[in-house]
Amino acid sequence: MKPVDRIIGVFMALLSVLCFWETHRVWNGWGGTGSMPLIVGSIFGLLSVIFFITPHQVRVESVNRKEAVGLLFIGGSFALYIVIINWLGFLISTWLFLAIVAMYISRSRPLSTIVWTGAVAACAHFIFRYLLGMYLPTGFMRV
Amino acid sequence: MSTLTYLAQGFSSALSMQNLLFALVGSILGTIVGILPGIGPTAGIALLLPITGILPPTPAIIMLAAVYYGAMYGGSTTSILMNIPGEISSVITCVDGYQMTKQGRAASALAIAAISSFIAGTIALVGLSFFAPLVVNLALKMGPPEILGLVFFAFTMVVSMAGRSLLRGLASAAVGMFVSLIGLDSYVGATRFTFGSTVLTGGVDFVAVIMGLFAMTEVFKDVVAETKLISNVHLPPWHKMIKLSEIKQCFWSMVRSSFLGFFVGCVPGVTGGMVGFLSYEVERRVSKNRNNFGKGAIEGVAAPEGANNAWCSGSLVPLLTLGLPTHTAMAVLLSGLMIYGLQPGPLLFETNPLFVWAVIASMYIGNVMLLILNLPLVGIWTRIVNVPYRFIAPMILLFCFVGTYSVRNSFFDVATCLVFGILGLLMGKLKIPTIPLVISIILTDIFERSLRQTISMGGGSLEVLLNRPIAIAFILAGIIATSAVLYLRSHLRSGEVFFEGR
Amino acid sequence: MKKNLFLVFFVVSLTFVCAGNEVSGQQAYPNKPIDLIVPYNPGGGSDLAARLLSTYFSKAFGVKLNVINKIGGAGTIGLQAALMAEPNGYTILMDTHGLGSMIAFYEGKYPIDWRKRTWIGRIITEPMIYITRIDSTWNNLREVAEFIKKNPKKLRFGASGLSGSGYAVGVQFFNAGNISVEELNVVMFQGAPEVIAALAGGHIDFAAQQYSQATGMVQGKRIRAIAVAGSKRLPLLPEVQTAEEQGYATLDIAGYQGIAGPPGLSKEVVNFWAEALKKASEDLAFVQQAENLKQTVAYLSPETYEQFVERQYQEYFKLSKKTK
Repeated sequence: MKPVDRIIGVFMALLSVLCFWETHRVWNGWGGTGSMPLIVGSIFGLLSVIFFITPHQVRVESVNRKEAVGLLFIGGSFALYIVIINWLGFLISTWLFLAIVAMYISRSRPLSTIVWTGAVAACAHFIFRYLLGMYLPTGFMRV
Repeated sequence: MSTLTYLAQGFSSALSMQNLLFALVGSILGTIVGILPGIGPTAGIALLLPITGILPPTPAIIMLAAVYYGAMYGGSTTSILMNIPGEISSVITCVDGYQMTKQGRAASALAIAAISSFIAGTIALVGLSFFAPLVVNLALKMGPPEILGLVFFAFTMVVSMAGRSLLRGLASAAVGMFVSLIGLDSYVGATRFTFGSTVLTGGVDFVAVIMGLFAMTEVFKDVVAETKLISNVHLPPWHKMIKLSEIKQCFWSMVRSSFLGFFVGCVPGVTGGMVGFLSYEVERRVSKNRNNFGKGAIEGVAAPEGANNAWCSGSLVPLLTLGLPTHTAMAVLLSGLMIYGLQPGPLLFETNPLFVWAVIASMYIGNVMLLILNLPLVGIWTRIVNVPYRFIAPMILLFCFVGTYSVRNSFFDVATCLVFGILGLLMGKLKIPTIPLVISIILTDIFERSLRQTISMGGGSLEVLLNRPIAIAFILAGIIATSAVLYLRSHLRSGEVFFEGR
Repeated sequence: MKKNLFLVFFVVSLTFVCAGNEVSGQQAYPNKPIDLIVPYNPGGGSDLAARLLSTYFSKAFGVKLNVINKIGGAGTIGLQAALMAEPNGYTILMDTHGLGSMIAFYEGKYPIDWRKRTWIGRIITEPMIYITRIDSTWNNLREVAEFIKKNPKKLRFGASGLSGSGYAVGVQFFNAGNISVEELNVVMFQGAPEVIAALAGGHIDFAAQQYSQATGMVQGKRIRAIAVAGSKRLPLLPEVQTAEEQGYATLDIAGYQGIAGPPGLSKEVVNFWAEALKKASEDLAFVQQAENLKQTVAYLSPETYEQFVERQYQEYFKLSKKTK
């Protein structure tokens, strides 16, 4: 049995313990708040045992370097987008985000990328803010 | 006056220039709202509520209703093309729809979604026009025990969708259940798994989870693989993209899903998310093409898309005949009616028959309009899919951002989307399927509620079920279906049986 | 020479300062759109009241009220957002019983210090009615109480959540009849429509719900109304007795909609809103629209509003003690 399965088994066991702990904390009778945590905890417990016991022939893939970098970059940009939006406002943060991601993917033609991402950001701003009346954060520049 | 006479009168009113115009406007707006993930028909109708201050009731309600079923047409577009569910009942459409897009059959998928929506929607409208009182009585008899049975049956889907490793499928489903429990217990307001954090008290928004697992994970994967979605050099005009043979193949799926969606829509307490799953699962068991489900079976698109439109009309039944809204979008529509001083219910049919039948007639017309609108769009959408990935990927991410934010103006939800995007990638590596997680995150809430309601009804135990044949029937159906699947899995090790989706 | 220059400079700058003050003073509140936060779903009571106000404000004052639904956590998400906003008067809360008096049911476990706010005024109250299955044999509340006493754990009482007014009004009745919640089965649903549907389908026996939500089904003969909570009969259901007439002194009002804001709002803001709400309550069109939604317009000034909510809270607190 692969070590990965063992790790998953441990993870399931941890979740099981968490569920049981919460069950105990909120218990107020059958059909009460604790029923579902109990059920879910039992399922996790059972699964974790099975993960440890049965041999599995599922081949697990590993993360290669290229994927990791891509993930970090795009995930990171997205996270940055969330952080920045309250400071710079929707229009500008969206433009920045789109430009960065597009340039990462294409790695060429920076000028045209900046232009079209600006256009998209403006359209999005128009559609969501004015057409649909959504409440999008405006930054310190009130955009 | 018979129903037909009323309906005829309704048509003559609905065909007036003003009412036609507003039906069209509503349909277009609804389609846009449906395409945009995160913004559902509820928000769309709520945004347009102020219109009730300007227009007379008939065109206003015609427009609001059009937004509602228009959203069901639009919801499938992004599901099929980009694996982003535009609308909760289109989540399951992503599975086969996106596979079809990857195989270069996006046009067929989009076309059949529109046609199925039209046929099922119209059949359901017939049900609304002629059988509403009958069906509503039956639907009211479905209480918490019956809903529990129905959800149980839907849950057994997890076993079928687990892929090669049942164990991993169950693990995925269990995680989904766990995530769904975070937050406030909707029954008594106690917090669970929140560790004192106010943000977590609001729970994890399942739209964010689904967008993360479906859309963001896909972007992460495709960016690295640098894939284009399809690359057809020559695309025929739209009317050559739709094959009559495919429509014939799906015909019975459409009919089945329309009956299912219509009836389920009449039952208060059943959510839109369930409709898609139920129709997909039923279709999978009954259809001759069942082995292809998950790999791009066209019935896998026809069934849920038809069902969600039928569900739309079905949910209007309790609203119009009893004044009972079965879910939030209906509640908003109800408030629109009440603003005019119109109380929906049997009295409304007696005091304002022209208004009610004009709205119903306009819905038939709206369905036709949407079909005419959406079919040529198939040509446009498939050309969009040809756009190089470096343009599409950032837009998908933007969609995810705005879509998850728009649900409740919360950046925590956007962060959730990112987290689940990464998790989805991880799960892919570990060969843990994501669909069971999605199924259970949508179903657990309603499962827990019906379970606890049933127990409360019986004074502390499940004995109430013993007196409820319908509930028992659903539960037995679920058990039998699961046993059948388990039997097949253990006896046929070949790849055919397994759901090779994600 | 230098002294003169200095004097001129001093006078000129003083003039500018005064002029500046005058200019900003002339920019009376409100001079831009106001965000009205509704911590609940669109279409619900709070949301509708907010939209009613929004329509009225743009007509009467030319002021734009943005209705923003911040949903989640049974109202806590929106409440927190509103109370933690800057007290400049441009973020206001659509206040309701779920965010004030009903908190008593949380028994000190509520995550926010809910009393820390600026109370502005009440605008709407929601009458409640007691309803039963269409085929039930009870004619008034007393018979229901007798049934429960004789058949413990048989009556199924439906409510839309512990923090809902339906539950509180029901419990008020039970307390008045010396019935403990243990003697019946409480079944929780999500929202009034589900409770009413369950009642119509015979899955529960008894409930208390908003007049606005239940009247349709009562008129459609799917459920029966056996009493109105309070002392005034209701226009659309004139033959239904009040609880007071049947001998039960229950709370007159359980549900309300009002306006509140983050702590520290200026007097100018509070006065503007109090005046606006008062004008709205006297505006015929506004009252008519509210009636269409089956809500009663009932204005209370800032101080009386705070007292009102506190009184209700204490009532519920007593109730919550008895039900545990």
